[in-house]
Amino acid sequence: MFIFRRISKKDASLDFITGNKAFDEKSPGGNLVPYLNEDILSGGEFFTYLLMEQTDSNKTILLGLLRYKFTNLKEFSFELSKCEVDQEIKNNLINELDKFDFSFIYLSRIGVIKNFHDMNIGQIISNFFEFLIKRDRKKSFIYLKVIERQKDFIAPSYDFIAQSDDKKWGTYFLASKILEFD
Amino acid sequence: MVEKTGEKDLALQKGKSTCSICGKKIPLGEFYSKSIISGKITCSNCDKGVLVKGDLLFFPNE
Repeated sequence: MFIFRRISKKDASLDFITGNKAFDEKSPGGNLVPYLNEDILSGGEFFTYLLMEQTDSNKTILLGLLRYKFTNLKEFSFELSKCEVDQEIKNNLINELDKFDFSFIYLSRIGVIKNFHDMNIGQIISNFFEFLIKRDRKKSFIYLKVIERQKDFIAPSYDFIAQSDDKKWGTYFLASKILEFD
Repeated sequence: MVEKTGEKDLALQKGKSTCSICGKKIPLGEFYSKSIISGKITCSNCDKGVLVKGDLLFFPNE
């Protein structure tokens, strides 16, 4: 049986190792403790979801993780201010976003444990994320930050609106898209 | 037989937006993606979500 659900305190000790050094730096113990600590459940700001398999012998295996948070125009503007973008373009973007009552969502992480890479689980989690956003039936502005080597993995419906440099990770991009309906 | 109206009928009505990839009108109430820069619209059938490749997406500092 496969389950998609919010993280809970009983999940803290589940193994979560993606095999990607940079991703796993977040959790040196190879478990979910740091994610749990930053979840709304523990007074943090993120919503964390887990994709799990429950075997016939009632063993739970974590396959992947999704993490996002609701933000606002001010937080997005702050991210934009850290990037190299012409001031006029910045102002136009902010003005455009300010015209509508968007939900602002920052997509922080999608990760899959190393044994299940290359099975498109990341795509399943990505689709689930968009379902969660659409479920609220609100016009939404989704944005994320992506390091240069992952740029080609982002779907074409996302715009790369700005780029900046991080001291440790080098060039990164701010990508976004609007989800809306008539 | 009584004809039912409501949500099903609404879903069949075409909205004002057209997908820039397949050219189809997007039904009323159905979500689509829109570019803040170009205004280009992509219907849910043509949209690949977030990831098109790979199983990891993250900004390492967070």
